Amino acid sequence: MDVARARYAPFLHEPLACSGDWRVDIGVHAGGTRPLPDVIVRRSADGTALEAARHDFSASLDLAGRAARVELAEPDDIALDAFLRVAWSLALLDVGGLLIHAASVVRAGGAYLFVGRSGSGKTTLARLCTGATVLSDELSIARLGDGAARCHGTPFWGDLGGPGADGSAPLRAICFLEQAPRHALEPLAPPKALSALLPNVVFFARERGLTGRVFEIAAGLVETVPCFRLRFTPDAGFWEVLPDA
Amino acid sequence: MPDGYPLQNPRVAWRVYDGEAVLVCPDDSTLHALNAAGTLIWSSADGATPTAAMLARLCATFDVDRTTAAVDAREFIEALRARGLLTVAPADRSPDRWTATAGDTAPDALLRRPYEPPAVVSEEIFETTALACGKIGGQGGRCNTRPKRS
Repeated sequence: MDVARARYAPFLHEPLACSGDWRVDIGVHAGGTRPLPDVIVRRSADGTALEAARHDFSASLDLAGRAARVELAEPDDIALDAFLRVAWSLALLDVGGLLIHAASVVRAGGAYLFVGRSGSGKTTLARLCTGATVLSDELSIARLGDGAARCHGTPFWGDLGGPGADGSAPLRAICFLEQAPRHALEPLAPPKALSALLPNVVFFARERGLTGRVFEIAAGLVETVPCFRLRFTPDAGFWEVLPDA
Repeated sequence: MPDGYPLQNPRVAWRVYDGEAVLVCPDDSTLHALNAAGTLIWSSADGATPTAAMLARLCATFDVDRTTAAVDAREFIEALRARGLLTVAPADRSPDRWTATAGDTAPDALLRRPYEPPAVVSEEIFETTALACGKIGGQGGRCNTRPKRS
């Protein structure tokens, strides 16, 4: 637990007496690691819970009851971190949120989501954001509620080597990263933006209801938030082409 | 490709933007983008609309001759069927055909839109590898002996 406390320290809060809290029971699996090449998420045999497993953890999640039980193969931060990412990808759906492979930065009161696969430049771009608040250089939350979108930081980081800020801001733009010789911004209409966003949504389940929910939230986001293809070169000049930055 | 009554897979989630549909099938986490002609066929695949009626709509909407449209629509429906996006019930409820009949009249070509054959572009979606072992600090190189995709 000390490892977890240290790792997630900026995001730890006193327990809040609100219905949104999750309860997660953590144990250590006696059998050690298992030869699973990928994450598996499926409905339990009785249909009441979701079962998630990777080589270093197995878990049962009750989305409606906001409760989970995870067995780690080893009591380490890697297994716990992997479980939390999987759990968040599922738990966020209930509050209109998606976990997205994206850096996020708050500037001038608005959040910018920089979406891209590994190597697309998320961390590079986050490092260029002096004077702005980096929420994450790796995984960010985009959440839709009451017709407005908001971006939240996460305690998950990439090559930046540490967490961003535990904060959120109205989501001003979704930018799909593409490295290029010069900065340029190309508006993306909803269908193209949706096609670009969905491959970057962190999600592991293969179930109609959950997948449909992801689709609905993603569609709502690209219909609500201006979306762009951001071609950029690694210098801070990219802010000059972004809207309201 | 049998003539008949195409029916959308009810597991598929979809939306239409400016006349072009985007579909997601949960079975294989694949996104399918349809063009305008493809969307017309997909939107008509309610299990009650025969392929002949789809063909008539295609020819009424787009500037295409019926023979060309019939060939293209057959291939398109087969492509959707192969992807598990729809099924085709046999045409045993009523006469059904892919060829022109006396009741089908060609609309004014000037009112029809330019034709692109119905098409679907498919790609896998969802990020399932962002569980980056190598990007977690303070792990003492354990990822070197426990390879994971990142």
